[in-house]
Amino acid sequence: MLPQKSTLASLLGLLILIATAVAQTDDRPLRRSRRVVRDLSADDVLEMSRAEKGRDFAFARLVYTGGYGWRYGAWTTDAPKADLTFIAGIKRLTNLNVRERELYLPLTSKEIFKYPFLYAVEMGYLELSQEEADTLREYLQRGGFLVVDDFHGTYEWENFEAQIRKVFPACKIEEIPLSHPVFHCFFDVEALTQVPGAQTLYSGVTYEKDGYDAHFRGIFDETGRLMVMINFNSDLGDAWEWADVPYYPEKYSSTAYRLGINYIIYSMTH
Amino acid sequence: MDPVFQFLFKYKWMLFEKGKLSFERMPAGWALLILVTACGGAAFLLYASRLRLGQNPRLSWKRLPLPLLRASTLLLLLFALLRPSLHVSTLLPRENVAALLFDDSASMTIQDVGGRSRLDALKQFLDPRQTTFLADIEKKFRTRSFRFAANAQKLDSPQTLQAGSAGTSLAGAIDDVLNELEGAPLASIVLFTDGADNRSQNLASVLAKLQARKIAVHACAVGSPEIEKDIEVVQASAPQSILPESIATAVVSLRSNGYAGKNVVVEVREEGRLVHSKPVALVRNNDIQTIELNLASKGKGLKSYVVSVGVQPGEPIQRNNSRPLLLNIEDSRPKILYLEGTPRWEFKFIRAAIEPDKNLQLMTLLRTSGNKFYRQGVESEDNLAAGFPTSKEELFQYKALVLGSIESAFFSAEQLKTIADFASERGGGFLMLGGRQSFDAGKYAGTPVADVLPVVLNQTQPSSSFVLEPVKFRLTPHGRSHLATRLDVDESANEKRWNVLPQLEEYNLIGTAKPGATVLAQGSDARRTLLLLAAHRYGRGRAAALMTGNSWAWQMEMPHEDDSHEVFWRQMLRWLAGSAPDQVDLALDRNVVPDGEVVTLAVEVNDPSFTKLNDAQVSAIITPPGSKPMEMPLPWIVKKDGIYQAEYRPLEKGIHRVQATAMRHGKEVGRSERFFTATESNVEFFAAGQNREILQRIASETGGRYYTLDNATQLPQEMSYVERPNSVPQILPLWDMPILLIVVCSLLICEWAWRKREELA
Repeated sequence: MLPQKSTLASLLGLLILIATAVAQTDDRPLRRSRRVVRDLSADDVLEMSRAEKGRDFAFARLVYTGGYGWRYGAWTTDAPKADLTFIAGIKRLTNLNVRERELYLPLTSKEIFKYPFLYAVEMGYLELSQEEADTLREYLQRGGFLVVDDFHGTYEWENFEAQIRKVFPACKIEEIPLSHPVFHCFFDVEALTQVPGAQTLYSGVTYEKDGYDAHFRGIFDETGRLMVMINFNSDLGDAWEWADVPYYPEKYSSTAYRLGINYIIYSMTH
Repeated sequence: MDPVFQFLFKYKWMLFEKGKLSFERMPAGWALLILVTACGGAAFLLYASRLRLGQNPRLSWKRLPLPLLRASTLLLLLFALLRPSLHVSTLLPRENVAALLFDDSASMTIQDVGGRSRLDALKQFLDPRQTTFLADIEKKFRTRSFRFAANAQKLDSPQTLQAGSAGTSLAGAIDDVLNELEGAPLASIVLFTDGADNRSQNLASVLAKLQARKIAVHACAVGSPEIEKDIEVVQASAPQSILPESIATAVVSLRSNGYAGKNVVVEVREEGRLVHSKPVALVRNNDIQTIELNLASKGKGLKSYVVSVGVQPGEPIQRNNSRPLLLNIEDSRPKILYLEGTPRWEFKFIRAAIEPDKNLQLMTLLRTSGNKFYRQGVESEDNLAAGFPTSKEELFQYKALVLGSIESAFFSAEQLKTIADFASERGGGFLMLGGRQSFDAGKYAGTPVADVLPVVLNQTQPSSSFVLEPVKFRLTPHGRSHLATRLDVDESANEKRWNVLPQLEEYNLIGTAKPGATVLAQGSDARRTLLLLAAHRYGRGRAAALMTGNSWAWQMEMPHEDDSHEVFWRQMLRWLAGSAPDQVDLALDRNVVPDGEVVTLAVEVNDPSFTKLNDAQVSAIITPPGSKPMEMPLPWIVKKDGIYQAEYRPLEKGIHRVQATAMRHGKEVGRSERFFTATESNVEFFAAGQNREILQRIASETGGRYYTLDNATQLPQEMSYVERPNSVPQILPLWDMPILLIVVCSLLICEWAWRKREELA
């Protein structure tokens, strides 16, 4: 049985709406930049690293393999706007001598050891080779600090956990209490709340998939130093990225900035 | 030489020294002038016609010696006719007393007199069956015999000497004899000794007494001035107290004789267990060579070591091949303040390097924004709550201060002055790290902090002094052995570890180090050598400058198992804090006290701002190893502010604990603890050759003479020629000295030979 005209018209209308939405999405600088940066060569990394050397701090985004299908290049999510907007906030709120440009570092690059702070997103699509896992382990053991962000729900957690266990097979992933210095070293964070992604807010909720509650977890080394800061079921990147957009609530951006800056100060003091 | 002299001049040289020349038939001056002129005139008249004066100048000059020789002959005869004589004072037999002092110290057991010990050689010399020495003296003096080491005691017979005493004081022994024979007509003292003098403190005053009483001291030396084959550990010293996990540098001085070029091993043992060794090639004979040994200080408490060099074949003295060494590893955590002007990785990684170290207490103050500071490692909520200390009391509680990248304008003028005082007055350690707000870039030139730094500021523009260029950090020769740059106890391993560290990505450009500063590390670019690490002493404290803020590359760019970065910072901060005194600080003048000697306890007492206190009550509790603690007061010594001092003579051997406490207005100012060990004295076996210099000095300054066993048989006769109140004059004629006849005959023969040559015979 053929569909009725009204049904076809409805489907057509829906397709047009979707196409329009996709077209609008592609118009965002975010999508344009993702296309540009997802295929980074070693030379690109070196050039990017040397473009603004000598700063005391660089907000470096971790480049990893993984994220198949339409998610290819998942590490680029929110880049570079989230990075650049956040960097502007760091400059305004701290006295850090911070690099003003974005910086992308793959785990295959030796340059990574010149930047002890790394930010990584979309951990649900993280896929580490053994070489990358070994490098990340060494990086963290030498004193590096990793913030992971923007992954939600059971499936993405399981993927993240599987990948991080390639790095530390026996590591203990712990909930970080609010009293931990990472929440007080610069701003006194009074409550740990979920920071939703912008797309999620359109839907009228703050969570994605089955990630109803935000978790702030960590992996510590043997001295008690926090090595990996895990923002699970939260999306600080979106909150930084859309901080200048009226429809994104200020309270979430504000929380994201507080947390992000605290993570940086903690990484530079512990 | 003496027999020849005596043959020619009829008497010994000693008599000429002691006597006065006079003439029995000395005419009046004018008559003597006529006689002398007559002698000369007669000689010239005799040859006047043959000299052809004025006729043949060449001939005149050639024959001139003839009248001169004849004149000399006549003058010598005139000298003899005047009856020259020597007037000496001599003692009447057995009217005076002679004290015979025999060395009974342990050094007399050294076998360096033809295979015999010094004591055996002396006993043999004194044996009535061998020589008449003692009998000869007895003929001229009433003798009193004494044995001596640190002091003198009466002795029945030299044959009972045993050479068992530790320590010798020649001055003390002589003084004892002077006191003992106060009322006796003491004319001479004879010392039978090797001259080993290791306890004398007032020799000059004793010599003055002898001179005043006109008592001659004759030295009869025993033993060889130079031990032919010997290795001696002259000194072994280490800091009295060090921080836990530090590397302590022990300085060992060696002197050897007869083994130049030989390779030996210097060993350090703790309770017999070898803890460190170092091969050493011995240098030229009698030159002192200094060796540095690095001892890793594990654990806490007192460590007792023995530093030794193995006994070599043919070495007669074995007891000087080792020295004890004491090291106190403090049970303390020095407080160190680190101020950083901006969050940066250098800060994080220094903190990370120090935090696991339970023996250092690092307190940090980090400016995270214009108005925010982040404190870490603080002891209480109030600690550093108001920011960087504004008073001496607050700052001086730390033993080291590290300034990171923070501009000078951050501090008030008073704070900058207090930082300088922290090093100079408090004796703290100061370090400035490189960075974009350090040194010239931080505009420190012209501030009191610039005075503290070991480098010269104001030689580069502030804007260009922070350089973002790669540079390799290379140790200088000083840096290879400096405690602050020790990554490994072994020097070559230390150098290897430094060489593999990655290069730095930034540095502060500094022109030169200050005079007296030690450059520990340098780098270089195409045009110049770059200073990267320098240090010096500043006042009572230490100061260092590390011209980079990128040492964290040694952590992040090295495998995580490599601990070079951690070790460097722990060593650096230990070195900085290591010499800073406590508010109450006890110092011992030595921590190894040979038996019979004293140790000086000196306590410095300060208030919290390190102003010296002169009104404290200071006492020390000394706990010997086997007896009850005893308390002794330490009075303030008026000539030095804040110093309280006393001496203590240990009564038993072993490790003694000394705890000093200072009280003021009923409140405790502070405590300090040190250790020393009282040991059997081997002092007699160090510098054990015959001390000829001191014996000659004593003899010459008192009118006596220096003899050895080879010529001491002359002593009995010579010692009676002394000017004393009861001595009598003796006239010794000189006109018949063989030398006069020989010279007269020689002159006549020369004259005859000359005449023969000139065909005048």
